[in-house]
Amino acid sequence: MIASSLLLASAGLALLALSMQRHAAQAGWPRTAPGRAACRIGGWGALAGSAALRIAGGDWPIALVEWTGIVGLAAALVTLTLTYRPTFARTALAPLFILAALLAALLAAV
Amino acid sequence: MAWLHGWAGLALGWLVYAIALSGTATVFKGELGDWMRPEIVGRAGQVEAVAAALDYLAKAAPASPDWYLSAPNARSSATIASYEAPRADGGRNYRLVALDPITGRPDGIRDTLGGEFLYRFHFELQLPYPWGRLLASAAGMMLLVTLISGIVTHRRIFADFFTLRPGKGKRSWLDAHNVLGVVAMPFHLMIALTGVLSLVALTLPWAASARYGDDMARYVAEAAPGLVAPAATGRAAPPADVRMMLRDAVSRFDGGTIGQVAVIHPGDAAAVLRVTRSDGDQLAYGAATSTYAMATGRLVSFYAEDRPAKRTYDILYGLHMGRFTPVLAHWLYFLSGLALSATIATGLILWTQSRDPARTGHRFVSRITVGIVAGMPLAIAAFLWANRLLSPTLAGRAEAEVSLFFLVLAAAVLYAVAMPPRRGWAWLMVLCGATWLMLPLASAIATGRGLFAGGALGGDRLFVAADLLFLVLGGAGIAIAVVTARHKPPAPRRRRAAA
Repeated sequence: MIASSLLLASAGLALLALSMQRHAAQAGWPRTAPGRAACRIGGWGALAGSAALRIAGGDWPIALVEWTGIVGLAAALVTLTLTYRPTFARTALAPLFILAALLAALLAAV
Repeated sequence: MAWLHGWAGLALGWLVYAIALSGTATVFKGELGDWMRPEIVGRAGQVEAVAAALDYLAKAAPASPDWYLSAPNARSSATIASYEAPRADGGRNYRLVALDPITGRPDGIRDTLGGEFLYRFHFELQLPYPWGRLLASAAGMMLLVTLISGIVTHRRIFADFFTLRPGKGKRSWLDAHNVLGVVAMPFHLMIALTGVLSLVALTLPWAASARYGDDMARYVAEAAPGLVAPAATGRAAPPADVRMMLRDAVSRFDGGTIGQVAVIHPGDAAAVLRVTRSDGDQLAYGAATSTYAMATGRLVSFYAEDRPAKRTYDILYGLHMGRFTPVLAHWLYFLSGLALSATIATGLILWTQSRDPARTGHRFVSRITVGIVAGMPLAIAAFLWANRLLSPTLAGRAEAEVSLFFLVLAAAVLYAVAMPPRRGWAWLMVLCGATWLMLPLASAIATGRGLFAGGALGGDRLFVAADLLFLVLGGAGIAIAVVTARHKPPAPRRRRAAA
């Protein structure tokens, strides 16, 4: 749950970054792709999902503290990605979502 | 509000940086203690370890008015005991010793403060009570002021949330300062606020004194009803079966483990054994306490805190201490602590870069900043080196380790004051990185454990993990030194962030 929460938080923050003009240009986000508003909604949605995933992992008071840290870690990763491998923020989006969903499904099934 | 952010940040910035970095290291206080006592290799159950330690204390410290023990746990394999012992000059003070979990004895274990030194330094700054705590409290309040005025001053932090532009001198320092400050902002605010709150009884004593006056005994009794402490009778009585009392306490802890154990008036007929549940599986600091009459083994009291106001304080304090178990939480605290230290360091460097270098005062401030920012991690590394290099049987070696920490810090600051800041920074960071990088090797030679001692990957996880962390820290130090030295400044004295 922790890993899928981190993946989903990274995807959410990457979407939020892509909703900003500078970073969309940096990452080569195509003009035909979903617009800034859609990115923003998707980003916040993914962040909420990552919180839900970690809380589903149990012990909610500690889960909330941990999730705050997870988002911080994800933000640092997204920032470094945008700085040194900007296009990766775009290409990694779909794999991040898929991996997060797969992991969560796997853990829920076990 | 920019002037407030700049000046409030500078006023106690050096101190806040030292406090933040030592606090970050303290996240791994238990593990650090194990690393610094490589002689302890055995493991024992908590009940057996505590019983063995109590047997030893009955022989070693029968005259002490009380004994305090931290039971071994998953993060720390020694039983840490503290008791009152006579000093050479006739006075008495509390002694901290690590006891082997199996034998309960300190024989053969090197004398060291372990993780306790950086923990104490974090809020006492090696100054006498109450001055160190007052100064740390003032630094914490200044950090809060700086954080809040910083959010106002750096208006663009949310617009620039993901922005880091390397290779642009002061611009890059500012980006690093903003990003490090903002990604862990909830942590920074929480840790500053709860840090100030943890010392609030010292800084704002009037609420308690208005209610209780000089009757501190009643204040303690009402604030912590679990801490039963009867008066001594003066009659001696042998203890009943300690193991049974400990097992009874564990059975009342709902699956929890033993945290602390205290014996009040050991050997006396009125002696009590207080067993406090470990708070490692909950957010709040402190947990249920079960108290037994030592002579009969009968339960005297069982207390679990449920008053909302006290619970709130315990949770806020617990958030600061970050002792709850998930390993991930410890690493997130460690990384966030590094981010806070780096935010303060980059802020201090920005302050010196934004001011006229020709003025004597500014030149002095910027050089001391270099000395402290690079000197603190160097001094922590020196403290760990001292643990490995000083002979395990040397008299007063625990104090010698601490002295080496301060000597190295002082030397770093003196060197930085004598050097142009750019050169001083580069050389100190290279030295700092090399010191961390070489530590695993020195440790392997001195103890035969860890990454370079071969083989024992499975059994020696702590030592291997520590070595890997030291290598990463050392590599980061060298990388920062190289990147900042390589940058050719358009104007004199500009450095670039690598963090």
